[in-house]
Amino acid sequence: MTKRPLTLSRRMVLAGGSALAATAFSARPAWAAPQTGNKLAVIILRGALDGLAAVPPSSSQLTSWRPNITPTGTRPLTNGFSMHPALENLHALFVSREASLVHAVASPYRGRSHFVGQDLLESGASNDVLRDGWLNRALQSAPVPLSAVSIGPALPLVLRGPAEAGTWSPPVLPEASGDTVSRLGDLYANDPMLGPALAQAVELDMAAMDMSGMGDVARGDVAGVALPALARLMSAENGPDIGVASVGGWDSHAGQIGQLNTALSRLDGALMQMKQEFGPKWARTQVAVVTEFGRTVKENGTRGTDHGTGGVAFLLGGAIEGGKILGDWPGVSDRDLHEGRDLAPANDLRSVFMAMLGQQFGFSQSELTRSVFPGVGSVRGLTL
Amino acid sequence: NHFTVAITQPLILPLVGPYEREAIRENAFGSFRDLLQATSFHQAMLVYLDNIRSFGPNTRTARNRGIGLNENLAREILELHTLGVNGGYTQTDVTEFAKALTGWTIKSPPLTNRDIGAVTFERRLHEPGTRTILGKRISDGEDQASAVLDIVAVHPSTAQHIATKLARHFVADDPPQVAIDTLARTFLDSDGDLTELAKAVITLDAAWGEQQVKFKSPDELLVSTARLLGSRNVFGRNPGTAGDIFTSLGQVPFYAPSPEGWPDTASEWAGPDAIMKRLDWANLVAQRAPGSARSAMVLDEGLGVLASDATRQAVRRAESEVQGLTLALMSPEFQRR
Repeated sequence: MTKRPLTLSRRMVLAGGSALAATAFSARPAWAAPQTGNKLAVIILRGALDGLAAVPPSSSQLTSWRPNITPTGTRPLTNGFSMHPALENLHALFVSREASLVHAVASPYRGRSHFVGQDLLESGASNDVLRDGWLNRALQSAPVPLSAVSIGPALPLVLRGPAEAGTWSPPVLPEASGDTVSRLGDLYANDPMLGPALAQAVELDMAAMDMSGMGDVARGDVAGVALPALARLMSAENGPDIGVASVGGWDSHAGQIGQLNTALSRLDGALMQMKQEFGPKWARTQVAVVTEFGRTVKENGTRGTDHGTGGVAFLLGGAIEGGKILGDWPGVSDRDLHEGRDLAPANDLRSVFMAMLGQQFGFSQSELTRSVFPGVGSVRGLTL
Repeated sequence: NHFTVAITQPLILPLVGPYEREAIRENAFGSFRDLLQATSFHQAMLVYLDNIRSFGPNTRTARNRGIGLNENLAREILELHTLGVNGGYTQTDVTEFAKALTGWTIKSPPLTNRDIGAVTFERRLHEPGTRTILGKRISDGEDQASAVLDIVAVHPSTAQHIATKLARHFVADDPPQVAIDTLARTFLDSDGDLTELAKAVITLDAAWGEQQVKFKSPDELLVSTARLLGSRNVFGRNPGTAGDIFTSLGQVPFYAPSPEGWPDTASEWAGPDAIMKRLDWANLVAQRAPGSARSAMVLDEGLGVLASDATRQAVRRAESEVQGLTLALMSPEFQRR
């Protein structure tokens, strides 16, 4: 491993440092890279968010198919679409032109397994799941050096691959001393997996130092903790350009009204916190909120919905044009449905990702189609 | 970790212990078919995957109450427990199987003492009719779902799927095909005899490499440490601390994030934050169980010849016994198996 300039961490400083520290870590700190100043975040909603509940179209046909699960008190958007009542902040961002959405959007996946669906969304492949993620391939082929972080104890597939990416989550147990950390770094010097992992952990700890003022968050409200933490890390001095967080709780097979009321209002609050944490950097930020697929158009036997195909994606940030429903709308009448049961996938999620990488970091079309999204064919980025 | 049940609702909390004892441990070395039957029809699974709320669309109950079919259990049995996602079933198979499973629920009042919590087949909730699944016609009756389980329990796709998961768990994250093939062949030849399968795993050449290849999951790390240092030192005296430890390490027992269960590869367990959390835990254990004798226990009893010179040296040169034990527990050798 190559030598790395000393990266002081709070723990090391508190422990009085150690002669071992200077040789503990390897490679150049990722955040010493020059910065474009633009930020790109991907929030993955795991469990298949029902796009037709989050952003209902005006359709009496749909209401007749969803007699027990149609939300009331929605707020209007454009073209007859409206926003679920729990997404109050998101609606306001749409109106103030800081958010847009894509409806009837999906990855190329046409099965209905959460796990394969998420894997395909994260790997950015056309059919077979690849072993690395499209964000990692983006890191590898980026026109300018980029760094990335994920919130949570394990690195999600979207960031997995040869390029390094960090993870962070708030501490739970009392922390080990800086000296111990640095000695462990020595012990891991020749371990190709544990060495880099520990090194990145130290860097992230440093940036995450100011996480104390995160406020009260309800137990189980992952979004409320993860999303503001991500924004805080990304907007720190020399913070990562790219960030990923995941939120679960969307698989509404039963009792969908109650489940989505809770999950959407938590998400909505967390997204607003993100905007606040980004502060002035919000103007140069794009956040995509995506899910692996949508759900059945007709409600099922337990006041919920089952796995479907076309779903919704939200885009927010100062760097989004805002106030738009992007892409094509296939409709929800009988003959418009996919396999007679789902909202058709009229739009490809990769067109969102390609647009973000192009607009925020200057990826060219050929780089995107060759390296980042192999097999994407003629899909082009939307204008966000 | 294969027939996952997680506490996603309060009703499941008292069911998971009995589930593991009655359905899993009871059948772990019997036949796969029996294990599959026991797990599929256990109260815990019927609740976890919503079968108690699934009703045949053509039953009077469904029509009166405006409720109907829930496909969750059928899908997960085919996708996760038996054939695997590419095992050759279709969406229609899932729906048909879901219909066959309707009726299986927990007995509702009026109840005698013997009835409380009992699993029962309620014909009035069951979708009537013959079902066609995986090309086979299965006549109606209480045994309809069970008949489907018997078909998939010995299916070649199931053999491949189970063999792959076992090879991934005991051999390597990316298991060698020859290991998978050996286990799959044993599965089919023995009609899913889990004792024969266990013997096959133990006698695989690939399972006995010189290098430690598998990275310990949090529960493996905790259990292997507890065997050496005692569970009190590892988990603490206080249930709250144990809860914090499980949460911090990212694996709370009975709270797997999905029916897919806990991951089984290093890439999913060894992120930067996870390593730091393990270090904080090791530090806590070391503070509770200080004494150079403990480091020696980890290095000699625990690792033996696997302990590298670098690790032994780091422990020797530590500034304190606490730090030495921390480093021993965090050593690359002890973090793997």
